[in-house]
Amino acid sequence: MRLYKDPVFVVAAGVILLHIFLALFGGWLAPFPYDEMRFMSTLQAPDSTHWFGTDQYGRDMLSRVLAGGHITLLFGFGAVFVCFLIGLPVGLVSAYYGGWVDQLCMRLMDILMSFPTLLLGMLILVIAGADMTSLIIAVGLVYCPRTARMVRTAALEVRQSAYIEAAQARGEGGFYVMFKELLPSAIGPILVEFCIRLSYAILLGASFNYLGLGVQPPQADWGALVQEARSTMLMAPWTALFPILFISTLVAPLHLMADRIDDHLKGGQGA
Amino acid sequence: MAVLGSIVLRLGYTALILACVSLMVFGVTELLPGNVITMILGTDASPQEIQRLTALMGLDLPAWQRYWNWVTGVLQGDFGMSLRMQQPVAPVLFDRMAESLVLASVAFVMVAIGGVTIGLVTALFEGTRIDRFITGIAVIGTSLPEFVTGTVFVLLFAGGLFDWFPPSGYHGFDEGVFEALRHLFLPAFTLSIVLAAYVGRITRTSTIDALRSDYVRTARLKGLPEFQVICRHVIPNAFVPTVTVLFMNIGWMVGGIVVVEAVFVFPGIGRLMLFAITERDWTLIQACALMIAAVYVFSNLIGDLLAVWLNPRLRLSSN
Amino acid sequence: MRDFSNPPLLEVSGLTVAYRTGEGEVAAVKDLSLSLFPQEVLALVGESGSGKTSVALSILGYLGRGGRVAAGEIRLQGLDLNAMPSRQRRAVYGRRIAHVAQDPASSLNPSMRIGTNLIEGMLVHLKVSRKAAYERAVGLLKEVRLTNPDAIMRCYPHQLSGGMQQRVCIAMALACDPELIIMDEPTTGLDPATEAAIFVLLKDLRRRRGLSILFISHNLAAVRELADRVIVMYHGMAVESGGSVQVFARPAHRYTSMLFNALPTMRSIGGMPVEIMWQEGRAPMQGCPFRPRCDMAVDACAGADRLQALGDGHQSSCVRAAELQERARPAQQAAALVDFRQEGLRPDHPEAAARPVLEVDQLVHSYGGRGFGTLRSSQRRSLDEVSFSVPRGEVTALIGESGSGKSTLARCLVGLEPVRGGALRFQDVDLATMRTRPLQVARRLQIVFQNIAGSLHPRKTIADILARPFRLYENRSVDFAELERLGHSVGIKSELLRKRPAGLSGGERQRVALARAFSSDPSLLVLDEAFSALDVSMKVKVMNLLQQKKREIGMGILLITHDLPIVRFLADRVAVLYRGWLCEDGPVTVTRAPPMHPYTETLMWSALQLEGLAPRQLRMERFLDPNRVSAEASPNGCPFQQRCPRSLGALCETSRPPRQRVGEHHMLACHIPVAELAAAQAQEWPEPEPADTEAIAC
Repeated sequence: MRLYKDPVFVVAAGVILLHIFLALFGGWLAPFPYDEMRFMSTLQAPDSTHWFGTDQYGRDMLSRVLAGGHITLLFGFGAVFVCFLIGLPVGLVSAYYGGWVDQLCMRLMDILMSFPTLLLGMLILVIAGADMTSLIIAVGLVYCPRTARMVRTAALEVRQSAYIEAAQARGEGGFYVMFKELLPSAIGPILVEFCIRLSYAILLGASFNYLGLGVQPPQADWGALVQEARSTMLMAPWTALFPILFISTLVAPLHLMADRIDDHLKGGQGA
Repeated sequence: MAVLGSIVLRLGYTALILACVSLMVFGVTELLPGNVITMILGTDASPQEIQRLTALMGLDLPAWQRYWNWVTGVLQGDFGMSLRMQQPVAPVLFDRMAESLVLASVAFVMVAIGGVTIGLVTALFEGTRIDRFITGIAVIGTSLPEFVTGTVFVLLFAGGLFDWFPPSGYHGFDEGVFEALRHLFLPAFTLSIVLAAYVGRITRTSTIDALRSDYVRTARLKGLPEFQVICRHVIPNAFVPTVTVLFMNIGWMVGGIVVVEAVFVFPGIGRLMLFAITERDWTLIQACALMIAAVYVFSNLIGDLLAVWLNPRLRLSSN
Repeated sequence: MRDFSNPPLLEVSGLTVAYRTGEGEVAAVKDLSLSLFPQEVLALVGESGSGKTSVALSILGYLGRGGRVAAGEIRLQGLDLNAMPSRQRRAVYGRRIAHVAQDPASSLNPSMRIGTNLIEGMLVHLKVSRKAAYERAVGLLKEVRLTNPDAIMRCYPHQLSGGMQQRVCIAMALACDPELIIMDEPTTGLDPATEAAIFVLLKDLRRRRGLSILFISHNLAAVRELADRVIVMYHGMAVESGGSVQVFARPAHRYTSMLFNALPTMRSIGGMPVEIMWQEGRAPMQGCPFRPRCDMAVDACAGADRLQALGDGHQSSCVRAAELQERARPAQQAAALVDFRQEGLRPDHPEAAARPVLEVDQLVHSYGGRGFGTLRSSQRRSLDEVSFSVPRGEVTALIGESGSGKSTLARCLVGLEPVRGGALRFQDVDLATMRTRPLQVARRLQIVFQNIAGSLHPRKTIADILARPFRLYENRSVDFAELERLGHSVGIKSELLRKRPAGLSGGERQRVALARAFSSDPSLLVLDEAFSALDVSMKVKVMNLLQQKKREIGMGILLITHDLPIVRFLADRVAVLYRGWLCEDGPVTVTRAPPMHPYTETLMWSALQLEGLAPRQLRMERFLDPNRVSAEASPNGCPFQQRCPRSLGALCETSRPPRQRVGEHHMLACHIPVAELAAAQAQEWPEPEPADTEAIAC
């Protein structure tokens, strides 16, 4: 079955596109500035003026959530970009050349991976300070060994294929084989890795912001919003519910998409 | 014989990794901005006071010597003095580590039972609605961060809709097992969700692969009852990846535990680490980071060794 | 042997098997009927896609998802196999019907010891004690000629070789004394010596136990040896059936006659005119499915879909069956093929005295040991000072079993493996010293691997694949017309150029790979086991194409294979490798007449054995058994000595055989003086037949 006819895939992709749209244009769509405090209307339940209610400082939740989306997607894509910038070439080179090059690269990646992701990120953030750029770099660095590994595995699967060896036997150079023969064959798993890595980056970043180690107030992504809602959520659940809803509806479809692409790759070909 | 060699090799490699980890942790604290001394004494301290404290803390020694002192100290169980709390780090560290381990163990049991069950059920009922339903929930489970699931559970079960569990805190086992478990349940469950879903997927895939394999076909065509086929042919082969994944990901739980402890205000090593970072307590940061990383590395090692032990192909050489 | 007095053991009537595909339901088997009598071996013969495996799977009730029995009945002594509840099924499968599958390695549970595996079935079906079952299992292992059965009981499958694994599977099938054994391609994928050994075993077992076997294979020689009756299948239909002697001697369907006579065998050179074999089309829905490819098709064939009796148990669906049975093969066809062979450059041709296109000189290769302190001397060399050459315009065959190092040599040639010693001279360039090949060298040295289909990038179109060599070697792009011409030269139609490899049949992909190799006008073409996994008709097509090209461009061909009949058909010279060591290097007549190296002798014997032509007085099967070889042969003696039927004992164990010259172009490495060897062999082997012009009934 072709991928774009798969209902789950289509719905998931649609939801993600909606999020991207909101993230790009949320600033103009928001009714209020996200940091404007109105002490007259704190902790108000959702109504016609404040569709998502207000928090304990009277800030409009809808605007905060929209702004949060902008931040979340920004660091999400940024981190994955950093991740692939390092991980993709390392993985391909490792898979293609093998031997000591492979050992060296993988050992380096192993050392980076010997820290739990959260811990490593925390350490980097402590050094680099708590703001958006360091967040992007931290998350990207933390995940690049895993991406490198995934790329390497995907490339290794096709590395021994007869057509790669045929290409080598023809006299093709390393660069050509890596990027014109290896990469296109492995593009499926790499695409899956991209989706999953994006979702993890968003989750990790949100976790850092929840812990207060990432972006600082009044900037807030959804993770930070959940953090802020801790004290008020039992009385005013909307302060926590909407950020949670938005996180889930961004990350879950990403996972579903990755899942569907993975299924399609495994089942679809030559069945 | 070759296997013993590879085990020794792995142990050696692990030791090397730990050494690198300790270097990195130490290096990080070297790179931290700000001056430790001025943070403790304040900006208007006199030069003599500064000098005295510097000598006392051994900060005038060259880096490699400080590193060496630190490492030898750690190997003897001495993690130095906490800057903020003005007391030795070691007791607090071990205390908190123990609590976290308890939490992680309970979570591990949940992952093992839950993940394997999910995997088996979805594989045996592959393609049916049960399979799709459970898999769908599992996918959603993996896509939520712990702080979201934890928060939702608190909202639902600890004061919101139902009041079955306490929203935070810790209860020692010596004060009543039931109460202790009641306090542990929600955090452990939150911690276990993501990994259980992952283990479930791995189990599902490997079980399906085994069910479709040639050797299961041979077993069925030998006329063996289906129950025997599943127990003796499917499960032993399907569970090898599962067990390996389980153990290799203990380390992952060690990482996720930080957030869970934050949500549930659980007195474990994760919260200690957070405290250390926000307070810029360098010695404490070093100690916590090293400890957490060490546990992570060791659990990976165990997972690795298990993978070799469980797979006859790797364990025994071919003729 | 056959027991016609009793009712048939297995009766299949009107079986139709359908599979769900992307394009709806497709029938893999159409209206097939067969009867298997007790103590009889019935063979189902056909190429891939003929539906024979589907027949086996429906009898076993293991069609899997997407497949179903759309019509017909399958009865085991009256018991309807398709309509059984599961409890009853378990009593039948394993106990009354046993199965031996194609790939023994994946049919054995990798985490279960052999002993446990063998005993399992017995404990369920036979109600015996564990101890008794163990004894029985050991007995079975002895029966399948496995030495040291107690040790094997404790082994895991991966610790055994392919041949040993298959013997274990056969033992497993025999465990509960089944009434019927279904064997689905039991030897495909094993190398010929192992294959021959397994067949000897099967014949023996069959004789001693009086087994009833449904034998499915595309190895015609084996079928002829083993089967009592044969059913030939094509595109899901039975096109001919009868006693195997009858069918082989006087085939009554055009497909059968083409199948049997197309392949070169040890007796004949075989081969059919090139034009006939090119046609490939969709099988028509009605009538004879072979019609598009048949050179004798007439209008009546559109209604020919039923087996008609021809008398004496022989049936065929061909409307011209009677004609076929009378016909003898026209002598001119054989003559035309003989001509092909003469038109290479013979050794006395003036140009042949020119430099050979490839010179392998004392080549050494070994695996592993890069750094890390493994002692060099204790490693086994995969290539041990190998020397031979490929003259211009000739085909040199490099033969040996798996593990002989022949593929390693091919990989060394193209730079996929580093060389540890010696020289590889290709047109004045020594390849051994190069880490990577300059483009112009790579251009003239083309290789086609065994996994031909896999050597085409799955994501590129055929046009892209064919165009790449031009861009790479000549730095120019080709227009579509040129690609079309290239495709046509190998029979690839223009519309296939826009497709991806997955959209082509196996034979078409293979031709694309060959076209790609030819397009750069190589001086040397290396074919690494390019034939082993192919259907009969594919083999013939490729061989004819090679002959053509050899004539046209004077290309040298290094043919790496273990298939002796093909070597005798195609090659001008042979080089024989055993475990990395070159035993013999000479003209192709060494595979026909003495003097030949003892290893070449055993290879010839096993090839003849497969076709039932081995001289009776020469029993060599014990020398085929790889179990005989202990892990480490003495490093200074003859590598072949442990399996050599002519071993001289201590001399062969302790010193390397000298390289003896026999005539100008023949080298033989043996301790036995050539004259003595030639005399002994001439005595034991019968006179070689005048193979080239023997007429076969067609």
